[in-house]
Amino acid sequence: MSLARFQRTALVLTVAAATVGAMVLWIRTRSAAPRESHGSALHELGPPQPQFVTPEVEPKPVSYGLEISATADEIIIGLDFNLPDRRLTARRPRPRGAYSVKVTDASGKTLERCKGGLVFENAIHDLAHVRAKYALEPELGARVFANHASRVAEFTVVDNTQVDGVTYRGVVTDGVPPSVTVVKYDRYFYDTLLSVELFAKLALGCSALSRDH
Amino acid sequence: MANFRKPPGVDLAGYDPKENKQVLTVARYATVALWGGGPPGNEKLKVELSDPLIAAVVEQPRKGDLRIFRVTGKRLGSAKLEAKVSAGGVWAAMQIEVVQSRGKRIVVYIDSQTLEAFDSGKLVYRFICVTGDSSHPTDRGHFKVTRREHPYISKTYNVPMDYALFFTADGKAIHQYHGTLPVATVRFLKSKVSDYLGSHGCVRLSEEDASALFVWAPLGTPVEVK
Repeated sequence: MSLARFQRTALVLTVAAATVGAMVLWIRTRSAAPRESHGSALHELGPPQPQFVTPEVEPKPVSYGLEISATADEIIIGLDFNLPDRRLTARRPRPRGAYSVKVTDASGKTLERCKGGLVFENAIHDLAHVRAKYALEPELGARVFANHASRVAEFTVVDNTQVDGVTYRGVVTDGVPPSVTVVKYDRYFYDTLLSVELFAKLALGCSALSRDH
Repeated sequence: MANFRKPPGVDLAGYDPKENKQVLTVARYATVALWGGGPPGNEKLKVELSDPLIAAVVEQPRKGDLRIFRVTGKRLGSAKLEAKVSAGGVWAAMQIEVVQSRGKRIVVYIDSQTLEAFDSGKLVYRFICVTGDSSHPTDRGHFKVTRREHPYISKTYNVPMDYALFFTADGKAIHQYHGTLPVATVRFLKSKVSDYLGSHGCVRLSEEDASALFVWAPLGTPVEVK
């Protein structure tokens, strides 16, 4: 058998095997038992928010404390932190430089500007290390967000690489104690170890962030 | 052939007796010894590195019948420490590897399509992997993990890349392979049938391996591709 013919045969076999494999995987996925996930307080349940409901998406389980996102300080050059009524944008010309922070309202009007101090650098560092407690079922996660729609924050840590940035939506839930639930790619929901106070500080803008202590 | 060994009472960190390899970092030294009586004419042994740019070798005062050498890392890379007899043959040898960090590190071998993970010089994981095709080769060199993402979806290729450990600024990562065929099959077909089955420069692992490596490797873990 010539090499070209062998290669063609091998490719045909590969495609056939891939088709059969995909069918087996599809059947196994459809028949698999629902994965374990953790619940949330009942009072957080509400009508599902259509933009998040993706019933075919299974949660990606994580072990407690797993870092689902981490960006090295040495490549971070900015942060976008958007609330429904205000937007905080921070940039620095190069990693390890000082941040310039701008806060605008929803229409884009500048409300305040300041230099980010140590508090702000710590805030970005914390947002750049998202550790999960557990994954939520998409339907449950969507309800949590729907019930807290007025305070959902959208944040992106910006770095100086060509790697696509990941935009999270996060919300401080009303549990006891309260915690930060985030959604990644609008489909993977996690309760996290992010600090509740961190979100409060970022919402306060320059008055809380420009201090050096 | 005899080997260099660690003399008694010295720090064993970074020493792998199985592979007879000493891992060290730049500007740090490790002590090694020529053990035993050696061949006739032991005194005439010439000890040197195959690549003197990688490390410096300085002989220390002898201890009994031990000849002691201090090897100091100069730049990243690996070289052979050799004891040559006057006739030109090598009587003893040891691998010297200079790395960014002597803690955790990942080494990707393009030729054998394998990935190894070390902790203080000790092998922790050895996985099979699939690297880039000839049009999109995986960059060779020294890097480090600067971003970790799980789950992750590439906007560029619109594909999942879970358990992603990014190590280059243009987005090359070690991550889970999400194709239908097992990684072992793809690796085999890539080497035997068509290079087309390689990645676009990333290092693909099975889900189980990618998950284990993701949990194990923190930000800053050195990645060497060779």
